[in-house]
Amino acid sequence: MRKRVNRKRGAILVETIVAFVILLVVLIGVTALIMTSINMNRKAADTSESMETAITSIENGQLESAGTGTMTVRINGSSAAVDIPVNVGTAGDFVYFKVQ
Amino acid sequence: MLKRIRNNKSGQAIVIVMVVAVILLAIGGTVMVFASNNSNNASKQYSGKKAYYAAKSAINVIDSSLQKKDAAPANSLGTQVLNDAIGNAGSDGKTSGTLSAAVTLPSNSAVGSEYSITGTTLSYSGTVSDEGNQLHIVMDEVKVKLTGHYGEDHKYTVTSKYQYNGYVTASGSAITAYNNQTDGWTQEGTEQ
Repeated sequence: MRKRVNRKRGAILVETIVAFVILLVVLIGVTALIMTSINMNRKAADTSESMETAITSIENGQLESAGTGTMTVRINGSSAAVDIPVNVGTAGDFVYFKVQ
Repeated sequence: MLKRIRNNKSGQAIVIVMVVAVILLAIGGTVMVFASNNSNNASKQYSGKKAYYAAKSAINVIDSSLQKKDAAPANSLGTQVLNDAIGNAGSDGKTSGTLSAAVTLPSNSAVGSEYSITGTTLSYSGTVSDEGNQLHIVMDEVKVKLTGHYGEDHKYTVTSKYQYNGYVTASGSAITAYNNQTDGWTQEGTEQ
């Protein structure tokens, strides 16, 4: 009778340990998912912030000069291409063209 | 029998843990999907804005060449559009047409290969009337349309509308002098 009770207690202990191990593995997995999600959200917030900064700079005309260049417009069928000299400005990694 | 099954509590802890695990994984997965969508949207919006500003600044540059108010007919887009309008004018003076154009962006290290401008068209409609030794050109509408691209998936189309009213001297369908720019080029607005 006593032997039977001990066997039952042992089974409960094993079951509890297995349950804890499963819970631990799941918790580690969920923690990894949450950490990845937090990093993704942080990256998205950084992207949005740098976009807003670049847009504000462009709208306020506070562009960094990246040199000059020529924008060429060639109307199909016309032999003469129209070359328009432009200043190339940047705000972050946004590019903006302005007529010289 | 049912009572025996109900009273048998062995394995109950594992069942509870499995249920909790499924719930936790479902919550974690949902959070992950939302974060992933959020990140993708931010990235798409960023590249989309790059295409938008490329298109917007390109149409501003084209705008300057279209609205050039030189007395001498320089090689400007405005002159090319008006020359085409004169060439296409019918006996009643009405004229219309659509010119497609290729835009090449400046070769500058800041302008990566991801940027491009496509689908540039200049369409016009108006009248050309012969007034002795000069032509009176009235363009009711000149529409410039182009699409700015950043990468393969991000594009933005802008349209700008103009009107023109002026007198020119022309040889054949080529303007040789701008005599009187009554209103010249006027911009009606830009749609994005």
